[in-house]
Amino acid sequence: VTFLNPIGLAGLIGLPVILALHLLYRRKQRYVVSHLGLWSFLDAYTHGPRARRLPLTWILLLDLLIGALLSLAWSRPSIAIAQPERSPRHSVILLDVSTSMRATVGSTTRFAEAKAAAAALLRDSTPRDVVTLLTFGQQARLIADSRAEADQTDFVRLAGWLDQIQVGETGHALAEALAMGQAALDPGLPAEYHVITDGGFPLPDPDAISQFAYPLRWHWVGREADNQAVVDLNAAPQGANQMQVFARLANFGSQAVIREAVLAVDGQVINQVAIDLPAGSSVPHVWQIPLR
Amino acid sequence: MAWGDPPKSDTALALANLLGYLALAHQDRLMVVPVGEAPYADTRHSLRPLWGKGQAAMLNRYLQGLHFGGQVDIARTLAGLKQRRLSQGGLVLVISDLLGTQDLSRPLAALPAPAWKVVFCHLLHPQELSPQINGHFEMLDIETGQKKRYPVTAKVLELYRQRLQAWRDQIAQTCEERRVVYTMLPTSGSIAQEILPELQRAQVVRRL
Repeated sequence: VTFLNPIGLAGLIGLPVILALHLLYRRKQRYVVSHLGLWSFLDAYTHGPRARRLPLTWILLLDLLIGALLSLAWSRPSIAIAQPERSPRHSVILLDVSTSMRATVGSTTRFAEAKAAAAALLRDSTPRDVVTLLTFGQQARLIADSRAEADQTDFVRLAGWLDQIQVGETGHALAEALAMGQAALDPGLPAEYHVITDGGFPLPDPDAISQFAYPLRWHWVGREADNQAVVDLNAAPQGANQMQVFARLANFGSQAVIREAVLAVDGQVINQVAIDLPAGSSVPHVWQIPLR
Repeated sequence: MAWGDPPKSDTALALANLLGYLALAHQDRLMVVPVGEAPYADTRHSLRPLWGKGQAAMLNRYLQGLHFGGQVDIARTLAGLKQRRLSQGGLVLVISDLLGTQDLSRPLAALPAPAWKVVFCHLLHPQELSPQINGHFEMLDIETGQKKRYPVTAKVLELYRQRLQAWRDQIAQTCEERRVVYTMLPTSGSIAQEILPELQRAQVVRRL
């Protein structure tokens, strides 16, 4: 048993105080008698060894019990119970590094939340696990693999790779990242995929995702900041070879955010830009597109 | 005697009034001798002999003027009664709780039957006969002011009642040996319904 707040045990000092208060109360309880001689036979009790006994009454025991329990509760005792060891596995962590992951969520960013989630997964790994860390943005990249480290069980060192990841790519190469992770799998271990993303992109092939051969776990970040919209859109030709597209983006939320605005023509992405949206504001943006 | 609620002195005065009136109505010569510390240690504070029912009011006034307190050894008072030469014989009615009284056999020997007929009306309060307390107490003697701390449990109360009964049995036995009438009267009872029948049973007063 360990105590999270050992100073709480100082409350046990209160137990002698409770005892002293009971003794004091006992002294104060007075009974007037007509003749003390009627009670003189009790002198044997008061002068013998029994006279020094503590007044063990139910109320005293109850007070002492309450005092001891309050003190123990204050000291916050905890018992470490060994959890049953799970079987080893190969965890593939896919981290979204697209521009939308730079969006702020309160005092932090989506990418910071994503890194924290990835670090938590690394902390939960056991020495017999294998972990592969990948990013997906414009393209998929293998960042680190625990088997490539000098100490294959040093997941703290692996977590250090998270700080070196750059965010702000255009595109979502999730399918490529899934395939890359599949190629890196340890055939002797059951695999488990963790996708950490804000979900700010359409799935390349939803059927392929749903029929993926390995367990796929999604870790969503930055969902609570979704309260923005395109409130105005206008396209007008500028001469014979250029088109001007005007858009007004509004943030109805109470937090300033960075959102990724994507301009697509006939399903083809023409331009992609990150726009700062202060809380409760609307921001205009203009694209100049050359006509072919 | 001033202890209890109501105090034992209330019953003592009522009983003295009753027995005194019966004596006056019977044309007996009546003296009342208060027993206690100063000023009652002096015989000058005794009520002078009275005759006839016409003196009943004076008896009542005298009794109402008495005050109770202090420590009394009734045995010593009885021993001194004969030395005062108040009378050569007669009926002595003692109304007391007898607390603090030592050996009664010697003073009773000084008042031998048949010249003297002694009747003890032993008054005890219900709380003295069976105290209803529990816990640790600092007990204060109302007469001496002495204090002592005692633990009072159910077992202690049972011992108390046993010892009180033994003390009463000892007084009754001494009285029987000296041909003295002894009757114990709880002060909780009413004079007419409980105490008077008890006095009749003990032949202290006769039924008309």
